[in-house]
Amino acid sequence: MTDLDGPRRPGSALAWLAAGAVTAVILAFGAALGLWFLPFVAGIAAGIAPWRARRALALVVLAVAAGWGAALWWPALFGAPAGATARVLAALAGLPPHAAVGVAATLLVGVLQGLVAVWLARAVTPGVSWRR
Amino acid sequence: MRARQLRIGPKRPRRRFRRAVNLAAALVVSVVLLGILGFGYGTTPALGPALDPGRGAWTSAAGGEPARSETLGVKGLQHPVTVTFTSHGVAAVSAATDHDMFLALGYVHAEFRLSEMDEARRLGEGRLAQLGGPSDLPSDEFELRLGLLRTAQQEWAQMPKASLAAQALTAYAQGVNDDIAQVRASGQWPAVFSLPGVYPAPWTPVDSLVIQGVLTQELDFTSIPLDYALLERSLGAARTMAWFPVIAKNAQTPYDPGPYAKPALTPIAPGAASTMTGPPAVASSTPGAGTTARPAVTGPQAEAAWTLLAQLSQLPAGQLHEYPDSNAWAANGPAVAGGGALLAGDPHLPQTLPSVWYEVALSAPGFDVAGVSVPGLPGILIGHNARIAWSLTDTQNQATMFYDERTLRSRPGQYYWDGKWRKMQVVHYTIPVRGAATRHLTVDLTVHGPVMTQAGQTTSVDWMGNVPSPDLQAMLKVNQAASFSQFKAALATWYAPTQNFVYADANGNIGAISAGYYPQVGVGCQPWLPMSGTGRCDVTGVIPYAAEPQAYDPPGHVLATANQRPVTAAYPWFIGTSANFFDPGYRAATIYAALRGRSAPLTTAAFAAVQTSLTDQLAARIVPKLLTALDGASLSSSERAELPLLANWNATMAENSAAASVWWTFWGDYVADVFQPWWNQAKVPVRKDLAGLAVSVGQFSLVEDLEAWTLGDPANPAFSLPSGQPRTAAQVMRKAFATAVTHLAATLGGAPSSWTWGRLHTREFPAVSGADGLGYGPRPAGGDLFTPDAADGGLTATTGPSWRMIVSLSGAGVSAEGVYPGGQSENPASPWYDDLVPLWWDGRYLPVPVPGRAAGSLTWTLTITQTEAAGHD
Repeated sequence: MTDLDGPRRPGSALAWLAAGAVTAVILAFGAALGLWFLPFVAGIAAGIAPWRARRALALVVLAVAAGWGAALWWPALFGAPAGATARVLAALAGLPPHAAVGVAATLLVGVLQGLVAVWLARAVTPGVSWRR
Repeated sequence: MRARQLRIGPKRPRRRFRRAVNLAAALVVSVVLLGILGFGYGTTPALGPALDPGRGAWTSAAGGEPARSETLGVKGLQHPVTVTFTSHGVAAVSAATDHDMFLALGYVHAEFRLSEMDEARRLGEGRLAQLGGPSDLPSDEFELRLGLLRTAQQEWAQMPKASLAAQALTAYAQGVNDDIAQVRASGQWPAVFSLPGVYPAPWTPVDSLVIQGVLTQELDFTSIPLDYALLERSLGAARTMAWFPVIAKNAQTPYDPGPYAKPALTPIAPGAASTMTGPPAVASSTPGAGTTARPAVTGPQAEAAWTLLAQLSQLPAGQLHEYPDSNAWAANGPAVAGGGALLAGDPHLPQTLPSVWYEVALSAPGFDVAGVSVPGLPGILIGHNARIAWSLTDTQNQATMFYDERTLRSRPGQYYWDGKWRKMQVVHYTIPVRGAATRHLTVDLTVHGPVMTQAGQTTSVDWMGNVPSPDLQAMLKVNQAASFSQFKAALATWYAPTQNFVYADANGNIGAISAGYYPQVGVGCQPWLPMSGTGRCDVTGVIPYAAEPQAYDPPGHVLATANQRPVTAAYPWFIGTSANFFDPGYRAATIYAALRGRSAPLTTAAFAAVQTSLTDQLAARIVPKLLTALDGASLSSSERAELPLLANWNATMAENSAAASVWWTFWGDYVADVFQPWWNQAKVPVRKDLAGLAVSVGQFSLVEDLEAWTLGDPANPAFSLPSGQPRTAAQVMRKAFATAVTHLAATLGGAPSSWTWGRLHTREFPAVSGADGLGYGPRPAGGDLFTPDAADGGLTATTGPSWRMIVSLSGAGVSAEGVYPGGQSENPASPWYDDLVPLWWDGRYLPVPVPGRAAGSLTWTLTITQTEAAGHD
């Protein structure tokens, strides 16, 4: 993991924010289409993007939380019992039967993919020119 | 730092090495993570698709949304069907044809209970491990050995396809499959499917018959003969039969007091696992009489017994019958306010979420019936139509017989029967196991039935539930019956599980019949023990239907069944021993006392009061004896403080009663003080089967013994210690009382008046899925094993009244009210998941929808479509 902590060329904050927003939207729509592995793809993209490791990791975590969170929240707007369903999923998974646990477990699946993907991307492309 | 490192030659290989390791690690972790998320590992499901927020298990939220009025396209309908719902989701189906009514019922059942139905058929068909992994293998192997699937397949093969039952099953399966297709198209599966990624197969009529078999097993299969074998081997035959006699020692109230006829036995239906060995023989005329000398239970027999009991102990809770607690009674004529008839029924089953019941009213040209249905089965099991009402309690007779098959190592795959060596039939099964290799199972079948174990002694089981039984046809005819003669005629082909069917009609008649098979074996054989499999103890026939326990318009204008032995000791056939789960009769006594001791004609309110009664009849009989025993005895201050509580107690196991705590704790200690020394001396192997062998308040034979001795034989030798030290009932009662008070003081502390029953005793309704947090409770509650409002399963009760119904019948019409502890939807996120629980808890009832009328304003219109998955508009 030392590579992830190495010096990187800082990117534009605005570009970082925009990329995060776009990624979140893509993840939300992807989730609706059943593309559960998109956080991994997003992590790969963030990993090879021109940001320091911490920024890449932060982008992935926040985008997954926002994108998948929105996908969870959207049906609740139309009356679906999302909180109760989260509690049910946690219970059926053998976890403490609380809605927060169900949501956290789901987001963890996305976030883990993104983090591992960033690691992989940066391990494949150590010190590439656009990050110097 | 990076530039400097680049310049330093010797460090470059180390850096490259670290990068290579980092890359390899990242690759491995990525592949493993994606692999596990995408495909799962072992019993861990593929969490990626399962927890996808837009798909996967999250879509089960759709099933939790409140239902709304809509039009739904359903394939296979002949005409549009209307389904209306009350605010609690109780459905009323109105159809133009019987076919459409059953199809719509299948559709509605699947819409609200698909995972429950799938779980039940998986259980019966030995497919739980496919969903749950290796931990479910014991259940799958047991069920495939026992043969619920084989029996269901045989029933379907024998069923005339033009019969009412076959037509209903076919239409019902179509309705279930319509719903499955729609769910598949929407992707909105219940979470129990989408989380593991294992989805339900299409529904078939055999699946429904398997569910019928599961219910039969839960009510009818027993391991009591195995327990008897182990008791005999440890306690000895004489003491076993003295303490676990055929006829209970205490006074009971059978609903059919006789006189009894004794016609010739009826041959068992063709296709049964058991086989007639010749013309029906005359069975022993008195239970237990005529028995011949029999060798003691041998070591191999005991080994077989405990091996089989060990198998049974691994089954999920509720798979075998453990508690004999249902009530049903009726009153008519002058006993009822305004004349006519009243009927009450509350079957006591494991109380789960979702419930075993789905409440519905059905209307079609051939049916106008309402009550509770079983998801997976067409028709109403307990309810009423426009003319009659009925309810069920379990008869508790012995319908399971174990046989010691004679085998030789030199003759593998053979057994000796009827003078010849025979080849066992062999059936092979493959059991898919989630996260493990597929299991192959071979089941050997003898003329008696499946071989359940070959440990020690090859033992097979002849169980009446394995006799192909046209129960569904019988039940549907009951749904249509308009008189007692039609009701009785319908039940003539009901074989298992044997049930007490209580009846009332709009003409003001009441009745009951305990329909089903009562198998009889050869003279001199003892069916409460494993018997010789060589032929002489085979089933020779069953009690003729006309001679089965029954009653019609009894002179007292009331009748009640509460799982007590339905007949007196004069009944000329063997129907089971006192250990065969016949209730000790305390609930029946309380019910009869309330009905016969009425101060005014009975009303629905009076019936409701009896259904929720917390009177413990055993306490009412024993506590006066206890107080007498304590009178003048040297007591501690705590013990003295209890005396006025007990003296002023009305034997009600109320949640706020301190006397109830003392009584129940005392009774448990009293039972243990009397019998445990004998158990210890005989080294009864209680760990082989705690429920069947341990000394406890749940051993009804011992409870009956102790009641009878305390009231009428206080110097019985059983009170003395095995060492010979003499004791009387009063001495043991004083000791047990002191132990109980000491125990309660240590457990609950404070003043004795604060030791309320609710601090010791709770009720809980666990989720069928087994998931913590999806059940209800535990919550402090009243009741015990012996109260009409029964609470079974220990101090945290999980079994009790699973449906309470009261029906009023007269020339003016039939009306019913009912409630069950649960809700109409199995989805825990639905407002209909457990909304009926508070009503049930408070002893309130809701009107049962009237067949043919709208249950409420919420309406589904099911329209004809040719599309497989038309679904919601």
